[in-house]
Amino acid sequence: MHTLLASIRKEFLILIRDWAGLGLIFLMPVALVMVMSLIQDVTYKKLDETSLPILFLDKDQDELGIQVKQGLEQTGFFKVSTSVGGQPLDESTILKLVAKGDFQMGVVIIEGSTDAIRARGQYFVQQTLLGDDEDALPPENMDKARIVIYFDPAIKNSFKITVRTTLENFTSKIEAGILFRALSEEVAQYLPEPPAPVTDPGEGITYQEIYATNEHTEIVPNSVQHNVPAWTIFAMFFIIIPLTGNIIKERENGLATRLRIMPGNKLQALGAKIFIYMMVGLVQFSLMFMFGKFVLPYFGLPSLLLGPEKIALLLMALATALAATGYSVLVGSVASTHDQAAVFGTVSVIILAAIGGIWVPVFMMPDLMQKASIISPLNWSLSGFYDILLRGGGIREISDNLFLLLAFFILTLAAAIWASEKGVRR
Amino acid sequence: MTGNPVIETLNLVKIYARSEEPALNGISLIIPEGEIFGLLGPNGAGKTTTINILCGILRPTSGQVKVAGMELNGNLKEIKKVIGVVPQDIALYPTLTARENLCFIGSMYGLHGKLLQSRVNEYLTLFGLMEFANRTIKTYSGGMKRRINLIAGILNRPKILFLDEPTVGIDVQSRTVIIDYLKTLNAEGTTIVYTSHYMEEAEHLCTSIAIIDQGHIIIQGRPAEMIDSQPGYANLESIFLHLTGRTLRDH
Ligand SMILES: Nc1ncnc2c1ncn2[C@@H]1O[C@H](COP(=O)(O)OP(=O)(O)OP(=O)(O)O)[C@@H](O)[C@H]1O
Ligand SMILES: [Mg+2]
Repeated sequence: MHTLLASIRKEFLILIRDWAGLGLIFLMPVALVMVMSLIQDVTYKKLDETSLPILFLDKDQDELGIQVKQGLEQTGFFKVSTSVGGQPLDESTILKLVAKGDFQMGVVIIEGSTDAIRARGQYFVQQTLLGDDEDALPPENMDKARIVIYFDPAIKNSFKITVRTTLENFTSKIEAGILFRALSEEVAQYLPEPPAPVTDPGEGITYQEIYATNEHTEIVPNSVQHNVPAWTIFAMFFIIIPLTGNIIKERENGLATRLRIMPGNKLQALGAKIFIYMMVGLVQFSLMFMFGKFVLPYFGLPSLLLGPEKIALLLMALATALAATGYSVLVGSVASTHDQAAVFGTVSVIILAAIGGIWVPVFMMPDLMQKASIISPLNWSLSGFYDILLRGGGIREISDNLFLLLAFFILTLAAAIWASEKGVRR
Repeated sequence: MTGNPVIETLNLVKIYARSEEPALNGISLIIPEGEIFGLLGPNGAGKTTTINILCGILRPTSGQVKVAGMELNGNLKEIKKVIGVVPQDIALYPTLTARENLCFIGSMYGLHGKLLQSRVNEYLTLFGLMEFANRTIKTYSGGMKRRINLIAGILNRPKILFLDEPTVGIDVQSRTVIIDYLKTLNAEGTTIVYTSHYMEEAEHLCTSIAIIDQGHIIIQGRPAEMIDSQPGYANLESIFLHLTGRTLRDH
């Protein structure tokens, strides 16, 4: 026990005297999170917060036009403009502006659309109630209800479909409302005593959009929710620089030999290193998450939301720290010089980070890279953090990720021990 | 003053991986308890290789080794507790202070608490380093590092002490302190196995020596007897030159 404590104390002292290493593992990630969150904040805002500007021309000037405009505004996805540069719109300007790509979409409600819907309603009601009056001709304007949508040709198909479904949703709602009123008015005519005026049935079916998370936590993806875990993981893997330095210097300075001359367990010396660097990882994690929660809001960024699964977060951090330690110990045991380890370590961590979705979220990557991302331990960790932070997952949801990271730790460690045993006493 | 053998080797051969020439080619040694044994030889003769095998750092290619009356193979754990090693190259943590280095090493030998502190203080004082105890090793001069390196090997009060060129690259003062201390230690009962290039130092210090060249022992015995048996040579250095030749080694 005394020997283990002495080893841990020694590793701790070596660590805190390594200023360059400390700067790298604690300051670099804080700076990275700050910069990347600020840069990507705009991108994410485009994605979810800022509404898409669209042109809107209401030639109907009646219920349908008013309701569609309101409906579009209420989704929060669109910023509805009815004039450009102080000039009221007409169809040809809309066509021009959308074709030029200044706006991605224009919506025109054709005149008489509401009347047409009403007329149709009345016709159907009469047909239903007075069934036998076969002479009544359908009103001419019955099919005149029209909404014209102009799309920028460069717009993504998926976006077009979204907009169409959204519009279809509320037009049919509006239609139902108009029909309902027409029906109740018509019915009232045939009743001896008019009933109390029927109140609007209200929304009827409403569509509520919820991010597909497990527990309906209120966490919405934004640049902070992505960047804080992402760069925390990156920084945790960057312990490869000080840790390989520690291992290789120990070897070069003859200290590895001294450790073998002395009594005491070889694995204990390694265990002390793993313990210290695991603690480093946990400190990095706490520091970065605190930073995201308390400091980033001062820079106009959203505060990091941790959600309720704190234990799961801690386990994820622990598993990540162990995976990073195992990887570093392996590189440190195999590399022959610190330069070699530092270069290989840096490059490999950056590549694994890129594949793993640290720089750019995996869903934004091309297909092939999305498939490749599963080989990166940084991805196992990141998707675990996403499960917790974005999808409201708990220990059960991250158990796969935990398993992969721990297996990676054990394998790299075993390989490292094997490699260094092979290298000595020959 | 010949006691029980504490070190016995028989036909030690060491061929390093990726090399054809054996570094040791049949070394047989018997070192009785209480000796100061000098292993002398030119560069590349195999001195460090021999010491490293005796203290369990290297595995011999073939041959037998007994240390402190135990087969090396299988008893390394026990042997490590009773031996001390002062390696040829300084093996200390450069960013730790002298005291931190020594406390860590002492702890590895099972010392702790007051005993550890008092022993570290005792040796720091003995070697004149007490006032520098809290400076990091990287700020030490070469001679100061050598002295700490030596203390690191004796903190556990070993029964057998191996020293690989403990006096290389240091001034006369430091060397005298070290040599005097080794004599004291030996008088208290520690067997000392030591390598050196300084023939005069060895001649005065050692009770027994072996000259090794190209992996072979070419002569073994007490320094005085050796000089007597080689008429025409007045000291160890001239015998050494006579036996090992004047050509440069290591290549
Ligand atoms: N790790 C190694 N791999 C291959 N060959 C080695 C290794 N270490 C030593 N040798 C070779 O073994 C031989 C003996 O080396 P050793 O270090 O034991 O000599 P030495 O007597 O201690 O020399 P010096 O006085 O220069 O310290 C030399 O030829 C050396 O080149
Ligand atoms: Mg040597």
